[in-house]
Amino acid sequence: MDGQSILQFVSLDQVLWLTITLIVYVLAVLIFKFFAHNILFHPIVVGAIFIGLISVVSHTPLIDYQRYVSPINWMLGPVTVALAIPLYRQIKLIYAAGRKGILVIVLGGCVAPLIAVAWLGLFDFSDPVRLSVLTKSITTPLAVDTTNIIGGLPELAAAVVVITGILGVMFSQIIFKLTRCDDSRAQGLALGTVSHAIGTARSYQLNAKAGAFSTMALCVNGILTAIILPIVFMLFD
Amino acid sequence: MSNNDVVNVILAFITLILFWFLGYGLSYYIALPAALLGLLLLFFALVFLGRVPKALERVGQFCLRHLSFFFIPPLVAAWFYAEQLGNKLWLFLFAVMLSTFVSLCLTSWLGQRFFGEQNKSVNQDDEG
Repeated sequence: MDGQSILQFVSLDQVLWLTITLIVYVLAVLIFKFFAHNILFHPIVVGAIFIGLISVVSHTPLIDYQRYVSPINWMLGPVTVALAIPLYRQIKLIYAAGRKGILVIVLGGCVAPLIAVAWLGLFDFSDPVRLSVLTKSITTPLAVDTTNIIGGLPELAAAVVVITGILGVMFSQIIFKLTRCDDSRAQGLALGTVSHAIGTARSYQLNAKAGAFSTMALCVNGILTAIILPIVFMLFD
Repeated sequence: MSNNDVVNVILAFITLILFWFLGYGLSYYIALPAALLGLLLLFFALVFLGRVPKALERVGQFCLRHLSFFFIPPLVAAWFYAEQLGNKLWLFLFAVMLSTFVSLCLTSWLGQRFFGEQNKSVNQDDEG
C-alpha cells in the first residue's frame, strides 16, 4: 500500500468537517458560558445550528456531512463506557436513597415514555417514529443504541432526548414551586430521572448534593431502560 | 503533566476502548446495547478493584464533560425527520413536552414526599 491509497482512505473533506465540528463545539461552549449557562444556549443546540448554517453556506448536503463525521459516532461507544465511573462513585447514594429513591426513578422512567407513546398513538405516526420517543428520558448514547435495537430512528431519538433535557430544565423552576419541592435530593432525583445529563448539569448548578443524586438517577434510569426495553421487545416480537 | 502521566492517560483511554470492545463482543450473545454491556463490565471491574485509578477518573471526567460534542451530528441529522413529519411536527413535539412536564411533576412531588419530610425533622446541617 503506497502513500496515495492511504490518503484516499482518509479524505480531506473528512478531516475538514471533523475540524469544523470541533471548532463549532468549542465556540458553542464559549457562547454557553457567555450567557451564564442559560439552557436555551445549550452547546448541542447552538452547535447544530452553526453546522446547519455552515453546510448551507458551503453547499454541502447534510447527508455528506453525516458521512464525513462518522468517526464521531463510533468514538461515542468508549465514551459511554466512562459512565461506569460516576455510577461506581454514587453507588453509596443508591443505598442511601433506598427503595423509595429507586421507586421515584422507576416511576418517572416509566411514565415519561408511556405518556409520549400514548399521545402519539392517538395520531397517524409510523411505528419507527413512535418507538423513537421511548428512550426520551435516558442519556443520549444509551438512547441511540437502545433505539437501534428496538427498531426506532436513532437520529430522531437523539433529538427527542436533547429536547426533553432542555425542556425539563426549563420547566423545573416552575414545577419545583408547584410541587413545593425544595429538598436538594428530591430535585436532583427528578432532574436526573427526567432530563438525564442535561438535567444533571443543571443540578450541579443548584448544589453538589443535588448533582450527586442527579448523576445517580441518570445512571439508574439509563441502565434500567436500556436493559428493560430490548427485553420487552424481544418478548413481544 | 509528566511523561508518566501521559502514558497513564493513554492507557486509560485504551481501557475505555477495550471495555467497549468487550461489550461489543458480548452483544452478539446478549441483545443489549454494546456500550451498556461495556459500561456494566467496567463497573464490575471497578467494584472488584475497589477504587477508581486516577488517570481513568481524569479521562472519564473529560469524556463526560464533553459528551455534548458527540450529539451535534445526530441533532443535525434530526432535521431530515423534522421535514418528513411536516405539519405533524407540532403534535410530535407536544408529546415530548407533555410527557416531560408530567413526569417531572410526578418525580419532584414524590421525591419531596419521601425526602422532604425526613430532612426537615432530622438533619438541617448537612447541606452541600
